[in-house]
Amino acid sequence: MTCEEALKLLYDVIDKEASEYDVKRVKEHLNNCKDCMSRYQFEEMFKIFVVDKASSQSKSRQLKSSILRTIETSERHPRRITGGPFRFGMVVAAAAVALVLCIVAAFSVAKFYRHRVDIYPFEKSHMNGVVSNINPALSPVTDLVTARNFLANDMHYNFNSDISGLCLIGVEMEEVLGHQFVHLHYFDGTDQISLFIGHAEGVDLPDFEKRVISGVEYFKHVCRECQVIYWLENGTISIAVTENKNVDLTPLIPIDDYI
Amino acid sequence: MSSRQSEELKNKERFEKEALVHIDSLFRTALRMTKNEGDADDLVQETFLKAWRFWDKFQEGSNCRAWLFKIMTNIFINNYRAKAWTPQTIDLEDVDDDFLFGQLSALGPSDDPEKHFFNKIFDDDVKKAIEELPEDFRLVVVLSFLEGFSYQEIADIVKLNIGTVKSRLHRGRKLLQKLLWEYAVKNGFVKEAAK
Ligand SMILES: [Zn+2]
Ligand SMILES: [Zn+2]
Repeated sequence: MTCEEALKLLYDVIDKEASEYDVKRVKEHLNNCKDCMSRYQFEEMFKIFVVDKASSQSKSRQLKSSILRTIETSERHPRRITGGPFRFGMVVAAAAVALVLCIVAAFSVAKFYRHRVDIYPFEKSHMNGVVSNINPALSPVTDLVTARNFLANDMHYNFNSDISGLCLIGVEMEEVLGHQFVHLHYFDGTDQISLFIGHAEGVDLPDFEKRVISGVEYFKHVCRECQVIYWLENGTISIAVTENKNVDLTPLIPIDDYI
Repeated sequence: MSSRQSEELKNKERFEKEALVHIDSLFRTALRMTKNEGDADDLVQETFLKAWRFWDKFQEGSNCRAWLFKIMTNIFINNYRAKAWTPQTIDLEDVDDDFLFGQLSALGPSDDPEKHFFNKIFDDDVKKAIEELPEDFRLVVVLSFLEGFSYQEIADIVKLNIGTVKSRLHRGRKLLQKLLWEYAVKNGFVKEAAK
């Protein structure tokens, strides 16, 4: 092993991320190379120094009791699961289109007003974990086959690949803004993500920040409480909503390769 | 007591035993990230509230601490991070990897300059230097150094790939060394080596 190789592994070894094999080779080198040895010792010492100095802290004493009091009085996330948690194993989407997320421009008052009016049903229904606007006349989609058939045959979406890390926790029909959508509830371990798919005719949403990827127009809005993106394709509209502004919603984009 | 109530009670006990025990560790990181106790309190509180809301989704046996950090990181990024998204431009290209090591070695071997350097700097100064790191670097440095998460765990928590985590950690380390060196020079603990 050369000095260069030994130094390339420096932080991996110190952070205990290097393989046993590499550690062994590095050790052999260090036994024969004073320069590298002193560099390793220094970096190790530096890490111990930082950990030691920065780990002491003043604890917040009341914090625990105040948290306990808060959860005492707060409901857990209401379950909106129609079929119980299950792994979907199929998909709504496709090749993850790499969308470079530019961060949202400030909204004018007028646009903000439109935003409140048009997107309000989504924000209200999803940001609080309370789903409203369900059309009682529509029977909820209760099983995967129904959902799949509905989405594949009626909506022409492709379910052949998987959205990794997302767990589908509910599928149902919903009426939002006077239009019918199939609503997929996803959970990524931390956040809930909603995907609505419906016919585009008559759905009038504000023009958010627009970008075009592979000929499809996407509209994206990010504000303090939410991230909303929607796109139109082949007469259908898809709207993805999440509380987490950092989640890349574009993998939810359906591909036009129909089943 | 109804069976529903007793189930809720069990849930709460389990939450206390598995999640709330990590409160100090979360608070420590929250403090380094928000830089003040009030916000750190709020951030930790919000984190546990959200964790409680989703407690039935947490899979028993998986890493609860990493899960809590993931929730906290999300809340921090969404609600606490400075609203200005202007990327912090820090030019580290001209800083060598062995910057601090080189500076200290240049002081000469006579009186063990490294020990001298490390002994003079106070706890609070190290904390302050960490807080001076740009948020992206600070987050991975804190998660790695102070919380001891592996590269992979950090990648999951901050939703980045492992290569980005490593490069941020590398740059964070370099910058931290540079800040501490400047601090030591400013306070006369060491004399800057001739350029
Ligand atoms: Zn060497
Ligand atoms: Zn919004």
